[in-house]
Amino acid sequence: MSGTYPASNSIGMELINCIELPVLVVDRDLTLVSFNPAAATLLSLTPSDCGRQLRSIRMLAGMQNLEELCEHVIAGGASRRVEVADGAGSRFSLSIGCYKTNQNIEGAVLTLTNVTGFHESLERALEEREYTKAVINTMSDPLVIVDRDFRVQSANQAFYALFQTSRDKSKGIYFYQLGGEDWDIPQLRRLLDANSLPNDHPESLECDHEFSAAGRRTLLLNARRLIRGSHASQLTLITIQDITERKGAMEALRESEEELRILDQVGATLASELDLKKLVQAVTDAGRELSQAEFGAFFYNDTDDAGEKYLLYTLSGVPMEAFRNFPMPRNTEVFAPTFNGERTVRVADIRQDPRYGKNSPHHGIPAGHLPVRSYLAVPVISRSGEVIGGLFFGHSRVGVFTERAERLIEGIAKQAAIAIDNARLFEAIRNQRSRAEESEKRFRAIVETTSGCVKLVAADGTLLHMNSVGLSMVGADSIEEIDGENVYELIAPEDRETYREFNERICRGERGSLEFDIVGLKGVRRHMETHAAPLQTADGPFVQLAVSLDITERQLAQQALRDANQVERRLSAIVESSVDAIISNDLNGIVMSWNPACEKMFGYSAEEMIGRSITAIVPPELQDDERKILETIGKGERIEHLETVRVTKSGERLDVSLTISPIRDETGRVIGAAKIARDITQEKKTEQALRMTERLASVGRLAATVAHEINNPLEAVTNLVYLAKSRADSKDVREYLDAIEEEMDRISHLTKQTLGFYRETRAPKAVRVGPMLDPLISVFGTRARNRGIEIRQEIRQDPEIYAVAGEIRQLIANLLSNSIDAVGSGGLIRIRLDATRLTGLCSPGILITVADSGPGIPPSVRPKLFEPFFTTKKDVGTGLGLWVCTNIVKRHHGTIRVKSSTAPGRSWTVFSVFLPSRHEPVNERLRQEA
Amino acid sequence: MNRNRVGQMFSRSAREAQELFIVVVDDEKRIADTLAVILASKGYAAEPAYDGMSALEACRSRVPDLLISDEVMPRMNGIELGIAVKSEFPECRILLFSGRAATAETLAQTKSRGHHFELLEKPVHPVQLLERVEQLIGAPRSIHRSVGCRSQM
Repeated sequence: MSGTYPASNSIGMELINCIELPVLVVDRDLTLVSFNPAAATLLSLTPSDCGRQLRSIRMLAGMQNLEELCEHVIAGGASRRVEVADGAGSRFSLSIGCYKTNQNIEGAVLTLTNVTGFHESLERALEEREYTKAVINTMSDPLVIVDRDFRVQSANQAFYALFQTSRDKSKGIYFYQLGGEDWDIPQLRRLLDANSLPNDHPESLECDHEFSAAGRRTLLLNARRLIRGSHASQLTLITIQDITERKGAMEALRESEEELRILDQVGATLASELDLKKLVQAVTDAGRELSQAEFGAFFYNDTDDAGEKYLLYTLSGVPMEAFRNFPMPRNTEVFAPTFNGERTVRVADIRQDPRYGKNSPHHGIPAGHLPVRSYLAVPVISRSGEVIGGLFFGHSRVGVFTERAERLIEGIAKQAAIAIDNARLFEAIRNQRSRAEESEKRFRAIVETTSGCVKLVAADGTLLHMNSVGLSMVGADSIEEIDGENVYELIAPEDRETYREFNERICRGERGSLEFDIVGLKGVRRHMETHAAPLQTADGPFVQLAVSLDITERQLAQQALRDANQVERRLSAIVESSVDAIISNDLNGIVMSWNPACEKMFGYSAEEMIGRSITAIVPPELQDDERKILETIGKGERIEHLETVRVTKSGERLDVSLTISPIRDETGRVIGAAKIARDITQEKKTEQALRMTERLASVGRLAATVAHEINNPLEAVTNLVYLAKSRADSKDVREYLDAIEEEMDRISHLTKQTLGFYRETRAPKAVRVGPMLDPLISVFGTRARNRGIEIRQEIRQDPEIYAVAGEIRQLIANLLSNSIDAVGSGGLIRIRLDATRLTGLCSPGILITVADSGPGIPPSVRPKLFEPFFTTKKDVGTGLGLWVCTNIVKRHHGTIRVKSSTAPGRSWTVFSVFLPSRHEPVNERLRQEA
Repeated sequence: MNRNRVGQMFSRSAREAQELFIVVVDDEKRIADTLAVILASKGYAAEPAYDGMSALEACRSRVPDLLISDEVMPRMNGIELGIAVKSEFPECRILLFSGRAATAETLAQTKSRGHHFELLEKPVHPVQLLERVEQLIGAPRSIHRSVGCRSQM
């Protein structure tokens, strides 16, 4: 709503009506002439208000002197502006200007602008500024804002304090020039380079710098471009942190950690060393390294066997010769604190030390001695307080040894002391033990070399000890047999009482001698002469120490005779129980003895054969040979391992090996022959098989060299036959050609299965089986596909093995080929690789399994599977495939196994081959064979 | 598709465009020839070659659908030939055959360099070979017999 008084339609008024700012117009006598709708709204004016005096209109608060201001303006004064509030929280800027027509001032125009928002934001800004200022000023880290030319714009108190300047003195000054140009740091200039400074990410810089006032400090400088308003005004905020102390603390921490680690390491090394000589060397070396000395020495006291102390030393960093010609260090003023275990001595330059050079004859370091300047000596003190020795380190430069080195060496000295204590203890125990062992050994040697029986017997007759001579006298095989037993039981019954009295007398402390008979454990009677003495034991009572001699030579001779009888009995027992046939016959060939093994081998009983001619078991064509044998034996000669043939009672022929010796009477005349016959039929068979194997192997090798050449003509002939078949009109010819194809199929099968891959690469090397599978499967793919067989491979793990690649390929090829033949048509073959650890033998390797869904292998056939020329495939089989496989597996020290099920509908066969990863002997063998 | 191949496509006769063309390579002339005759008898256009270079020429004179090559050949072996043909005629399928078992290993090495060729072992029966050829490039489209053989069997 607007009002005009007097009503006016002027364009000016229309314009005012459109303005959103409240506008009021008054004439010279301050009568409201007009106002626009905005003013009507703000001041709740109605058109009737026009013509009213300004003062009668309810204006806003703070407009009390409005009339005065209007009059001032109307009187020709400058425009005025005052701020007023509406009482509802809004603030307005009231401007009063004069209202002119034709240069005459007609009245005044009052314009109200709402400035509430402006005021609020201004206040907020001021508030924030104060807050920020407070924060910045309370920050202890210096902080400065520079413009693009690096002139200081503003900074916080900490900054002014650091640079000893003030806001006024520093403003506009180049940052570099502050603080006596201490801050002209090249790194800082680079950091501040406006081009390199990112907007968002603060760039930090750590720099060490020498300041004229504060000395060397480490500063962390952080610079960040500030964006102000809509355009970048290129201000940069730099914060400066003095991290000298923090760095120092971290360095110290790292260093002490390092020290601990080193000490721990050295300690562990020393603790595990029990050899004193090695130990002190290790200590000296470790110390020299840690202290960064040029040379180090460890002088220490040791005690020799005679119990005398003497000074020993080890050196580090210089050869032993360098010291050989110098006397041992003495307790001079320099060395005393060390050798007396008083304290560590660390001197930057020993030649400048007041304690130095006081003693004759050298007055300081002898000529030719190592040029020591820096000197560090630490006593090594045992837990018992004894000074073991001292660690000495030197360097030709001055001031090498730091406080840290001192700490480390002191640490090592402590560790070394403990280790040396341990080593000495160990050595002492070892010496003691070896001395005890030696005296014991000496005693034993004496006792054992005596030809008599040496024994200790307790008063009650308990045997305490007996030497080996004694043991053999009483017929005991070991001391355990009689140790602790009562010796009286060994005495012949008639002498037992006498011996008991004798023993008791000796155990009362007397000496004495006695002759008596003993009956040993094996019942052997001996006549003994014993000389006894009392021996006091550690716990008090006497025991009898006796040396007894066997004086029964005649009895011994008799015993020997009895033994001989025993041998004879034993021999006959052996003959009876022997598995070899043992026969004796006279020179006419009449059998005199025939043991049970003969019965078993030849079928004739002893009753049947004794008294009969041996020719009964000789085949007719060899009768003459038997005569020759008897002639040879008759001449007293022996026949060994004669391989011949004998016939059993049932007529079966046996391969036997004969060993024949002449039998002589007491005068030495040959009276017959003793024969040992061994059935070697099985051995012979084995040998034949072996020979066959070898022959096959050589055939295989020969054929392998020509195999490749066979395939090409084979291909050509196959094609030609195929073409011939397609043009053959006669049924007969087609049949012939079919037959040719079949035969050729056999040839190609033979070459493939045995020779295809065999001996292709000869030297064994580290190979993986996995990569071999693809090419192999692609080779067999066509054959399998044509029969609707799927070949799946699964590589679970593929450990490296040491093998002849070609042979492994041949092995898998043969297994695959067999599986394809076994499956026939429509089925599945899986080949799987996995790593394995052979339990027990701990030999890791690869497990190759080839499984097929074929009809399975009947149990009756399984044992023969791996024999050469055994085949179930009458048409295409060579019988060599699996045999070749076994040989390859054997050469690689692996194993091959087969499992199969012939259950109808769910039959299967699995061949599993284990090949060890590494088997040195195998490698060696393979290499030699290659 | 390179410019060369485009040019060749335009120069092909309509009949040629229909036929499947096979180049058979073996340094044993008899093998190459017999195979070419066998393939031709089934309706493929087949051209025998006796070494790698002449095989490559044969391919350049007419873009092959399939190259059947022996592996062991003097000068350029089957694998080298396969790689050469494949680089010039990427659409051409390659089938190698070999009487030498070591080829499997050579192929494995070739595969590791990015060339995967199928390998048949000699002797391969023509029936099996034809089956494989048909699987690879399809049955002959024309019964018309195209004897590219230079020699008469």
